[in-house]
Amino acid sequence: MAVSRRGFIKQAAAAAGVAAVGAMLPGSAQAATEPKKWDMETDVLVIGYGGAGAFAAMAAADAGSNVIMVEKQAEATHYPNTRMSGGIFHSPDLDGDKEAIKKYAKAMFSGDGLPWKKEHEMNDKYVEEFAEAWAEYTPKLYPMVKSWDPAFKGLAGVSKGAAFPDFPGAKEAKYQTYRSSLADRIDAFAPGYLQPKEKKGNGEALFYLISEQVKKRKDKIKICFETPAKDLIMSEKGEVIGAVVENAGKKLNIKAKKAVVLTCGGYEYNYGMRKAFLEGPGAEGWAFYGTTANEGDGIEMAMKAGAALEKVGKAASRIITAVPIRHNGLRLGLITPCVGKPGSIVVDNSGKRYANEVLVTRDPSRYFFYKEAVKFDIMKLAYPRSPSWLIFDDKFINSTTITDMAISTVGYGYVPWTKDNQDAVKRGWILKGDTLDSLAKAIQKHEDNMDMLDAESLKAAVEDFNKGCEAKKDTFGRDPKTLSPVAQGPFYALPLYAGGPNTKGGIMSDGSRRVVNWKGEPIPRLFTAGEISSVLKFVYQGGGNITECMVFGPIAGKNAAAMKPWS
Amino acid sequence: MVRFFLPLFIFALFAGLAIAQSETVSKDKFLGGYHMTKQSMTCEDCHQEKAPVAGKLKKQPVKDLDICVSCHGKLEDVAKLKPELEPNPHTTHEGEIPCDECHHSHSQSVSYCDQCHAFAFVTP
Repeated sequence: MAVSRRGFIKQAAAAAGVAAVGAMLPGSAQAATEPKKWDMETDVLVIGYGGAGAFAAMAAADAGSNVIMVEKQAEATHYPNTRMSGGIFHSPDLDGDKEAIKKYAKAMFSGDGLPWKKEHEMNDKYVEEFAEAWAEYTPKLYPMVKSWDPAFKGLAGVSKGAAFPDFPGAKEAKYQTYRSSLADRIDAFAPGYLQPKEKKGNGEALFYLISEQVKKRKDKIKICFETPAKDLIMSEKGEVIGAVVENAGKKLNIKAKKAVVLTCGGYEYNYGMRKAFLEGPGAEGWAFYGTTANEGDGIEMAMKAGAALEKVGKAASRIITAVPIRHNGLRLGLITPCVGKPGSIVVDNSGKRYANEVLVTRDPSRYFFYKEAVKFDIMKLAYPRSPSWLIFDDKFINSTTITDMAISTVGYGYVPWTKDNQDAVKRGWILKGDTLDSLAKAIQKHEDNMDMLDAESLKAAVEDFNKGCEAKKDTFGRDPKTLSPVAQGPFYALPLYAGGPNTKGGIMSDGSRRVVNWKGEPIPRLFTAGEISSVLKFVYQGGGNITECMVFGPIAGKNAAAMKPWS
Repeated sequence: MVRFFLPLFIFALFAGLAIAQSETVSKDKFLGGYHMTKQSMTCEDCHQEKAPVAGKLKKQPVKDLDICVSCHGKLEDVAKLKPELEPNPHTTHEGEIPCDECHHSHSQSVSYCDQCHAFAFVTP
């Protein structure tokens, strides 16, 4: 079969792991200019239909504006991160102290108000406004969702109350988090997207309710699926007046008379941005377990319009496993809640243990553990923990499902997995050895180990851990309850990479959610919300990203709708 | 004659086994034994008309877990008994998990959460 030149380039690009098509085409470093002809017209154009986009569109519509919301994914496989998540959001009790919520939010977002932290992560003026909005909106979130559908249940979130009990305001805020459900009981082994309404749980339940609310406003909100935005359009005055989008291979110019709102997610699947922004081996040493649609296109568009960047390398991450199914040359990650379980340890690429494994999955350290995984050995000039390896025994594999099968990449059909994990063993994703020696050989052959593992180190690590189990005293201070030996062969190994659900960094915005340039000046008529411009830049409490969609989506939408039309 | 006595015989046999079963359960170290000896409960309290499970290996699950709730309260009430537990196994992201997913009356109790997580709960 003859390969066309274009086909050849495409294949070559895939082989080289080159990310976006845009990287191959000569692209302009600037936003597009005003076209002669507009193909569509609206008041507010929302780019990206995830949690933040939905809330921005609804707020703009409720303020009387017409909205077009363009979404890259097809309607049948519309899996934004909000949907693929646990559906957790923050909603302090209604009688919680507003000032306390504000203080707690400021500490969480930027480290503001912590006695040991001199420099804050973000501009204090913006943070003040972000926290003000947080205090105003979050207590109303649970009652709001409940009012949408009485079947909604707020189950226990990740943390009970405030994840950072020593932060200012943590007590008086009466902080709460909820996990979304429409079912009395969520089946952790049933794929989220296939469940009927009454059995929906997690992000599947929350996003279902959100999309029902969007549908209710169909006279005001027009949704265009399979329509990725390609470029923002700027007027000669430097105002954002629309965007170039693509639909069925055709480029269309959409005029936005009031404003454009960027809510199209992070850069989890942008190869170049991953290498540019993430610490350590950004492409091969990291993985994410959310939607593959987050390819950093919004960040690129905003940068071309002059947007400043802010803490782009931040991601609420730990170490997770990933499989050799790739998108844009990047491995797909899986949520891995089993790390730290009895009968298992984590070793570095040479076979040595380096941390209390429970910290990988316990709150709140699970949102920062990646810092351990990207450690650079300044003497050997290497990243010895990239990847790390979960080492476990036969008892572990027979009693544990490695991943959560209702949410994330397995719950949405991106990655196949079976409850007994055996399919992954057959595929070679989980390495197996009858003895620790044969397991060591299997690890050495893995493409990411490059023969770095020392079998003696691995055996010594297991032996030391097993001795600690007997003595109920672990070398790394692991919780005695989790001390049960890696004893019963065959033995298994699973690679673990830095990673988590999503990235949090990107474009800088002010308290009104206007995108700003490096001088701190707002780029006229350009707003943003969601993970593309997360406010959680210091630390993270589970559910924070969805909460910000529900708080700042509406603010961006409302402010966009309040703009005076330019034409 | 045989026709008349056979069912009676079978009944007597099963009744005997039932008593034996009840005695075994009351002596064992699991929750069933505790409830029978310390709380003076009977097989019927939980299994109702299906009890006792005479000589059968087949499981006779307790259909109505309200029997647990009637003394211990709802999951949220039980959660309040150990507020120091973090995370709390009685308020989970899976919702209303039936008591007997973890607490087994006639065998070793398990931690449902630990199928995936590493909380290492010790389940009574």
